[in-house]
Amino acid sequence: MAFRLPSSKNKRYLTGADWIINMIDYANKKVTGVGNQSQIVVELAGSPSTDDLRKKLRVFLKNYPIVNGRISRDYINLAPYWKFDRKNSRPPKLKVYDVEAGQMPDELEQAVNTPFDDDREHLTFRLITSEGKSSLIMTFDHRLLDARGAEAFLNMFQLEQEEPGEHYKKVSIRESARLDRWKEQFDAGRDTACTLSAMAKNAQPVFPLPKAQRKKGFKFKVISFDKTQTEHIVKKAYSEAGYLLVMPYFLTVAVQALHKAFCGKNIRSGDYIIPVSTDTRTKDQLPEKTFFNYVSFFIFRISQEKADDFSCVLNDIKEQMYDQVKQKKLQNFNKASNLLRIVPLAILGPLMKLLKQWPIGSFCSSYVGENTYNFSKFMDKDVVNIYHMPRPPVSPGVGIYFNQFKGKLNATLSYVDGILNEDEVNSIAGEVKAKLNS
Amino acid sequence: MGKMDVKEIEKILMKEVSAILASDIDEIGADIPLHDLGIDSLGFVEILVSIEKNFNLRLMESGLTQEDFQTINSLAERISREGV
Repeated sequence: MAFRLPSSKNKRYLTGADWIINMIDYANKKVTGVGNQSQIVVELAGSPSTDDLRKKLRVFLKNYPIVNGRISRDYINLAPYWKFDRKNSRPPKLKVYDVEAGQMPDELEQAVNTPFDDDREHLTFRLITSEGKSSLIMTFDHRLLDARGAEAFLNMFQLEQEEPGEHYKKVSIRESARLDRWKEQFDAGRDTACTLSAMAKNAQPVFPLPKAQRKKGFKFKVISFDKTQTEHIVKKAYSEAGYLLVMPYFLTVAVQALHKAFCGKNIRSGDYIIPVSTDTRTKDQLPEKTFFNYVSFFIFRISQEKADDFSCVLNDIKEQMYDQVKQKKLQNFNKASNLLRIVPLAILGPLMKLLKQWPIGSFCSSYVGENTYNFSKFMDKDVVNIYHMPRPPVSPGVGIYFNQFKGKLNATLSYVDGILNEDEVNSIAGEVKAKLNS
Repeated sequence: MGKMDVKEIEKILMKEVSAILASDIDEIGADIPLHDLGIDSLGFVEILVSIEKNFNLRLMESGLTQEDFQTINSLAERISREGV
């Protein structure tokens, strides 16, 4: 029987990076009931017109039927792809409600811990108002958008309001099936497997997961710094880590803050293993490469015994970063993950566990950089701050994520409810603040 | 190979930076700060690795001061001072 390829206009092949994200989504759904999703919170001074927002979102999203796609396969099941229907776009889901000021953190947590309705829903919006202010929340499926892509998507929405035009035509959904260069992919696979095996060889400190995590979901602590504080922090990072090396500096701060929590719980076993996702797009490529995942991973190994020494951790991270770039580990990781697309998700997780290559990590981290949202207003209201609330992979179920908006730094601690108690969370947040403000 | 002058070093660096940014070499100015060009931590380390490849200099352990590393021009002078 001949098989028919679906129209190439209505599909986008998934890359290896996308498949890793799909694997995390599958694993997170199994363990917590909710997938690999995140949200951007846009804090506004004032509240935009609800009717206007709903109408503008509807018009905007009509140009992006891709947001209602789902996973499918062809080429005798070798290459998964994102299938969508150009004629069947859904209206945006926008919930609007008012809460008391103190309730906002709980509402934000509830939003990101709410599963999508079905396998075609990957994006929802909420506008939560409280005492004259409001927060626009875009909850998104990481299978559709990565962190910077989500920022760029919001930016395109505002761009469309300020300069109505055909911005959506810049977005490309073309991606090769990458069913070629097998030798290159296998060589990269061998290199990546060796790296992961070496990392996973010894025990790594992890926080034990609470037993009933399915019902719990994630909790968050957002630490925000003003412009003056951020200028001081970046200056200090340049001076201590080196010009532009803010990522290793922030990661060092995260390592030290979490090290204290590990020690507090008397979890003293082996080295910390920290996967750090990093964007592989340039700034200019963002409008074209908005959807799906353009990330790779550094994997750092930090001795628990030396974790108290800031300079030692910082230099270690810098050295490892340099060596991983030099050895093209990030490119190899992505080439190797292309091969994983052959394996269905239900088998991939157990297979990786069997090969002792997953899960890996004591906690996760990333620094998204300066926000891609370029406007100081959203729907005519001043934007006060923008930050992310990601649900990291379980396990480890803990992550510290950094981003900047208009020169203001945010650090978000994200953790499975019950993995850390309130005192521990406050202590980690206090450490991050103290180290960055010092 | 004889000692390179600063302009020659700059030319090599501009080629590397344009490859990292996937942009046209004409858009890379030697006096524009790297952060204004869109270079981040990863891009900066990629530049350092390209310096090792092209000039056999490993600068990661050096001070990496903003003064020396902020522009292609200052970076070229820094490399030149190493006697490349």
